[in-house]
Amino acid sequence: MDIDEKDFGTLYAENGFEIVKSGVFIREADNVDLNELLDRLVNLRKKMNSSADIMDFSKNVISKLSELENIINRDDYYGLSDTSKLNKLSEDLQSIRRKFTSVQSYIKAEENMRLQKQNMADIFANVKRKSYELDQNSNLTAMERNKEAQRLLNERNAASNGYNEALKFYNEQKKLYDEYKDNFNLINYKNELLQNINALEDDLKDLALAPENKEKLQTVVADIRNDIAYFGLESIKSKQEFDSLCQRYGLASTAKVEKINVKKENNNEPKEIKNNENKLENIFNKLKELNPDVELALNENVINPSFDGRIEASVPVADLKLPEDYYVVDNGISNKFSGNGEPVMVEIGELQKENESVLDQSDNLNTELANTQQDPSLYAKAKSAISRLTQKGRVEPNKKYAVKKSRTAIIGSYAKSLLTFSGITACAALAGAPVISMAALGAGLGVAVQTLYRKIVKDTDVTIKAFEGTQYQSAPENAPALVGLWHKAGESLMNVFKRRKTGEIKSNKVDSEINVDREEQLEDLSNEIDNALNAHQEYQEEILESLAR
Amino acid sequence: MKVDTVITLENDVNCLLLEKANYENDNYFLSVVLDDLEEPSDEYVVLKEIIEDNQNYVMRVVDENVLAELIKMFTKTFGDTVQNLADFEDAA
Repeated sequence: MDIDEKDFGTLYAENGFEIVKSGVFIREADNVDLNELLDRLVNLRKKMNSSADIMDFSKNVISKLSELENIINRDDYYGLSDTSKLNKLSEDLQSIRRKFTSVQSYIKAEENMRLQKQNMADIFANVKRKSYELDQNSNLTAMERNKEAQRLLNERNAASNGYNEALKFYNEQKKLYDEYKDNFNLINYKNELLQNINALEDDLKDLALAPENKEKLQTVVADIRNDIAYFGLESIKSKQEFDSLCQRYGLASTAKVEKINVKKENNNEPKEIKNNENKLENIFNKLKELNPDVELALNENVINPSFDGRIEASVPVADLKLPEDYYVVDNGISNKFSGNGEPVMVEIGELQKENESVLDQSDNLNTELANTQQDPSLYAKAKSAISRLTQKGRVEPNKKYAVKKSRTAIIGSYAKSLLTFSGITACAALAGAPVISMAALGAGLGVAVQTLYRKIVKDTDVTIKAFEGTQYQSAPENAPALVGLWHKAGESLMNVFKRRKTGEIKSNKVDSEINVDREEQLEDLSNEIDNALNAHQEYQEEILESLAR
Repeated sequence: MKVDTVITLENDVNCLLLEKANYENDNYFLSVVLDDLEEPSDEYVVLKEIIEDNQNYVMRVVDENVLAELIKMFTKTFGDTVQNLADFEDAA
């Protein structure tokens, strides 16, 4: 127990933990560094809330589904597929997309809102420039000037309305999305999606597609399956560990963090543009002029709705030099009772540094989502984390795994050889070995796989072009390409093997071989009978001879 | 660890060990990851066997040079195995 005995209670409370079973906590506290325990709990809480980022996951899967559809649609043979199979594929794709409807609507609404916001900013800037030019132009009549001013005002209002409508729709979608997230069951969601992906994979097998596109589709499907399998995995594991630690040390997570989140979420919520934006900009510019050493940032989102806008400063409001007619009010400045112009109230907040902002990504998924959408660097970090979590392969490179148990596998020699062949070609492609060793590998592998191939297709009409000939001998520099080709063709060989095992493909010489075998067996049997008769006869003769004596 | 064995890793992933090779005094296994239905997936890995405190561990190898050497060894064993395969028997 390294924390000062007077402080640990406060520290734990500040981080949202309450000691609900003091006896348990006191007993276990002797055996643990309380600082480390707190860090661990805080980290786990972050992980269990952050990695199940359905938004990022959905974007990823939706993008891969689009990629999949593009590959199919561009395929030359796709149209030759059976209509019922095409319909089945379309239904299964729709079924998967429906799983993302809430998120997709939210994503689209968000994109539209951002687009409208950018559009509005462009139009506002344009209107400002044209309005200045209009004022400078002395060749216009009063009517022309007024009309142009009106046109500019209308243009500005239209942009503002467009944004406000987009924002309204975005807020509605966000509400629906939040409700969806609240009722979200990760396990069920993942299971259903995995079933959908398996169905989709089956559909793809039935389609007429170019072999290279089939290969690409398999990769995309495998990627999606991995994404699904890994989605929220760290969150689940972290939650289990978090709960276990809380139970062990008699702790409970309090609602303190949630309270902070509510405040932060409101803070991040986009707000409708008010007509006094120019006034705010003017005050902001004046403040910058008067306080050149102070960092200032204009923020249209106020915390207290009684203010017209918010400016964040790196120093307290009391230390700011204020424009004429402005005075300090509670958490802000105003000219309401001292100026002759239009009264304005500006909230003055504390300007957070970038790293503080990152640290403040509280442990709540809502806050993280909102923040990641507005902070590109954080969004990139989140994407990178998700990418690490969802990277292809369930056995991560260079990570040591304990072997929990082992058991003997029952596997036929042909099946094993085929798997080994696929494994070698798959790993050879990964290894990216120099051409010279690939050429040597190609020759060795070529001989082996042709032997295997000939044994599997023996006495059948089946041929697999990739395994015919000896290309690796005539042009060893082609070995890397050949190894890739063989890897693809390995699946065909496996199919032939399976079809022979199920009797779908039969040997051309089965009947004659059976006849030969039967003749041999009959001959053997006849010989055995003859031998037995001879032995019996000899035995009887011996008995008769002994009786005669 | 030996070939023709399914090992279960600490993250509950099952791997079927297909071929073994010894390279620079370490054992390596060409393995295929099994899916949830215990069927071979399309994910193949080369695992290095590590034994510490009587506990078996494995580590996925990605070093290109080591992989290149191992693949040659696996190929040699594979060639020998295939040569000795009994003639294929059709389904009964």
